[in-house]
Amino acid sequence: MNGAASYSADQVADVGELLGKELSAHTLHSVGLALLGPDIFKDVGNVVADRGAMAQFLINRLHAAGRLAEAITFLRNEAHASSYLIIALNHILRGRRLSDSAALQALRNTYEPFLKTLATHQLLPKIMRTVCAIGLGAPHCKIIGTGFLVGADRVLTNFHVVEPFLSVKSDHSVVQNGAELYFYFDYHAEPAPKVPPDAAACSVICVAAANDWLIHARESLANDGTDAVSAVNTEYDYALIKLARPIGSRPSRPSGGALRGWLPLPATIDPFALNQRVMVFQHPQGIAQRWDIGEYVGLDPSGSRVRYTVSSAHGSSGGAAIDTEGRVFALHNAEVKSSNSNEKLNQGVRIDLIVKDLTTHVPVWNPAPPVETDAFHYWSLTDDVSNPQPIIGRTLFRDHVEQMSTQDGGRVLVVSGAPGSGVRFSSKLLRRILGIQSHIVEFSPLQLAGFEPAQFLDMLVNRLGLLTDGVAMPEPQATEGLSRWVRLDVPRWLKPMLTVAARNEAYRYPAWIVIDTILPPESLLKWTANRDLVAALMGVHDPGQEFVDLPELRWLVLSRHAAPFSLAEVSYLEEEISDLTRYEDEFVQCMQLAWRCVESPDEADKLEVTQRTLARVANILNQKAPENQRQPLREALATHARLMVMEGLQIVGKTAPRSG
Amino acid sequence: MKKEWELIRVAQTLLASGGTLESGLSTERLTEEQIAGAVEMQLQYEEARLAAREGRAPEPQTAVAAAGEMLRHARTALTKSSNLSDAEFASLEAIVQVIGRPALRFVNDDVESPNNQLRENQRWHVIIADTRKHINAVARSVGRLLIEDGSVTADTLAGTGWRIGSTLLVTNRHVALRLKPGKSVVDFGAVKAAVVKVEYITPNQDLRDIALLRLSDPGTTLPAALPLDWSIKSVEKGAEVYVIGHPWRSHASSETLQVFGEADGGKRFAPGYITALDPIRPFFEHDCSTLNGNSGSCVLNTLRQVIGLHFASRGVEEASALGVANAALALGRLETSDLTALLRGGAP
Repeated sequence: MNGAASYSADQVADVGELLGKELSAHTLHSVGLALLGPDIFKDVGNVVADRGAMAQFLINRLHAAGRLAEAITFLRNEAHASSYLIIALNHILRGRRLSDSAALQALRNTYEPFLKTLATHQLLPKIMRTVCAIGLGAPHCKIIGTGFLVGADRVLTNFHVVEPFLSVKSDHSVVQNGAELYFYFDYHAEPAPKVPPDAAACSVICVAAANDWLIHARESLANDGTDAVSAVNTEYDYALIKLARPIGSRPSRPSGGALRGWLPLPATIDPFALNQRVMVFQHPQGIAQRWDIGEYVGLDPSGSRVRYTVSSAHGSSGGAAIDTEGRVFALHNAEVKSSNSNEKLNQGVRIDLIVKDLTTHVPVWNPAPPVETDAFHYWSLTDDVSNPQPIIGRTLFRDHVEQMSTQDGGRVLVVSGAPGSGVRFSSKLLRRILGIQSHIVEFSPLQLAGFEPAQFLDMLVNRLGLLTDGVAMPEPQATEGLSRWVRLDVPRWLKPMLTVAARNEAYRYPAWIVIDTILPPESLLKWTANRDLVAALMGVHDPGQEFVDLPELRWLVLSRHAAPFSLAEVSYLEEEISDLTRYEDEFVQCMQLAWRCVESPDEADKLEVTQRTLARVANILNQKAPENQRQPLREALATHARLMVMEGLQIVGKTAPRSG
Repeated sequence: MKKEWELIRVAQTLLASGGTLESGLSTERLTEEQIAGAVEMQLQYEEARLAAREGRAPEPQTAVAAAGEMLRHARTALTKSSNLSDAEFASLEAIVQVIGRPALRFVNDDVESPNNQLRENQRWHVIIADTRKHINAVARSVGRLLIEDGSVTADTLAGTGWRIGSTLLVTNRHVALRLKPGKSVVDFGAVKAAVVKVEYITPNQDLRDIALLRLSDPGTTLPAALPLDWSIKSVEKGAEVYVIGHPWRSHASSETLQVFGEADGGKRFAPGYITALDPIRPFFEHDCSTLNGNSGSCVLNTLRQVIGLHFASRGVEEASALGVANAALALGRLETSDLTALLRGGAP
């Protein structure tokens, strides 16, 4: 279509009808202002209250002014090519009526797609760990806003959040004017961290701004958040800040884990997508991180801000406004003071405009997307770096657990070793690897020996939260052997419950059951009935024998010896941990990861030689110790690793010296 | 004089900020229109409550007239540094409550939110929305002490107390001295308990205005003991604190002011900040809105742990006559003694 194109009456009517359905009143207002200026709605009268009438009024005016083609071009440039708006527009411009295609109507989503539980569960942690509270040092000394990582060492926030430390020149360029900026990650619970940070141990990670921290910034807009907002030149109210260290490329937790990562910024958004849901991650009033979800309502009069119904407060400025696919949609910046007092709206600056501005003015600002990997390791069982519990080696165990998280990765893992070798540590390590959301049910030797099978099953069902729906546990039939009950009746009873549970809470499955069979050498575990039950639930059977598969379960067997009972026809993995031959490598690996997590990756590499030496010294000292003080080697190394981390953190001032 | 100066200072601070941009540093002043609107809304709310209690139709025009009068008195008060009239003092107090230091009621054991979001009321909105159930849980362990069981009047309300240990209640000495063991009760709302005896009380000359009361044990229904925070770091100037207590105020001299601030001995939640630390004595001052009847209230930190015992309110005559605005005894600054042992251990 070109500027001289003419449109039929039907086309004009259909375009008006289309915009009336697909654009919010706010966006219609913004589009009208952009194309026809502020006077367009002066004589609009009561039409404003009726979105359809407002759209038709606007289109008629544009058509009368010979500017409808220009408006269509504008919509095409702004909206997503695959959105219903553009598809329907093309349909109309090809001479077809809006109402004459059932297929076209079918494209129109009545609902925003429902949020997927599993996808949201996976998305939220990735976003949460990139969001930070921002504190200004003297003279303010308080948390005043929010920001989020957009690179390993880059945070995006609002200009007005850090404005006390900025100066604007006559050419509207912005320079930094102050240095005490602090960025608090993982602030999820009160009390609030201090500004500036103190040495008190807490789970919040504080990163200061780099010396030359301001990468680029744009001023805020006069009357932002009101209907009287002025036209935007470059007043995008943002500041891109460099951090003192690249926290985004470090493990997200002091004990290891997934890389923190950052949020990639999209070059385009769909500002016309009505009813799409928006989530804003924020620190309202400087409290621990919160988020809220609401609906996208439309553009502000300047067309540079997007408005939504998400809750926010002072302190939320700089928050990440995210769509339900996890894409950044806007940089939250203001409460909206609308003439319509019934509306409670907030707004953010369109992220595509910020990206366009950065791309134009900042060379190489856009970092490569964060590397996603499923493999991540922990060096400690806990995040408390002042009291770490180092993990020496056990790479094979971690690999096995990772493999078993897949459908065909094996159902049973047997960990064996002499008493004191650290076999029982495996269950703690399992919890660390899987996290708190996964089901892990542990049975001690006492329970295995003392429970009746029915009690074993009761505990299993209760701990997994399975819904029996009133179907009672089957009882062994007098006419049949216990073997059939164990092998078929019980698994058949469990199977539908597990299927439902795994479907409803997919992120908690597969569920793990830990069978601890370790007793002192002179003792023998007497657990025949439960052993047979466990074996049956694992899927142990003779070739050709009927059995019931329970794919939602995984088993960790802790034993003094390999293969504590027959695992016929069941694929299983093994780890024998008594022999620790490559202890230097395992010690160094632990220390290297520890240093990467809590201090500097560069320093970690430099310390490798020292760490190898220390590992050898630890081994020698342990062997020379009196027999009653001698530890299993892995435990001795863990003790030394713990001391090294604690002492090292005190030296660099990250923790206070321990008393006593 | 210091009380008035403190009030004026708080009012001026609260009036000096606002704005739509959502940084925690707000620099725009509140407009008079915003304040007037907020005061009017608050008074209409109070008038509606009063009308409901008196069984009559609400008279919104009374609230509008009262708002106008209060604002006139407040404007005058802000030009002074001392010698405020009763009406000026009360009006300024009312303004302070409306724009940042509210004394929020509990309705059906649920704390209310402020009627507006001006200035720091927005913060309290967020805090209450975020921690409502925790605030309500703590409030259940705070009760009003009545000299004799019966209706709540200026003569029967002795003050406030809060639970520690298995059957103990903490309050002020000057509150305890008004009680009649065997006749006096503490009313927590959901449950009442008789005051059996005074377990511990500081001597009259002791600046620590505190007493521990033994309650009867009505089975297992006494509210839970409150957690105490003994850390000296929790008592810092500028720290955010909350007071829960049972304020009481008789009607002010002005008929219009009767509409506002009807403090009927009901439980209130009053947020604010620590404004000063006594350099020598274990006391601190705060700017939470309190009245007579708040004596014995608990002062809580942001984790809802008790850090202090309120003992003096602005504008209230107190036996201690320390000349402070709102004053509280700081747990973290008490020297180790029998008292601290009792507070920590709860006594057998």
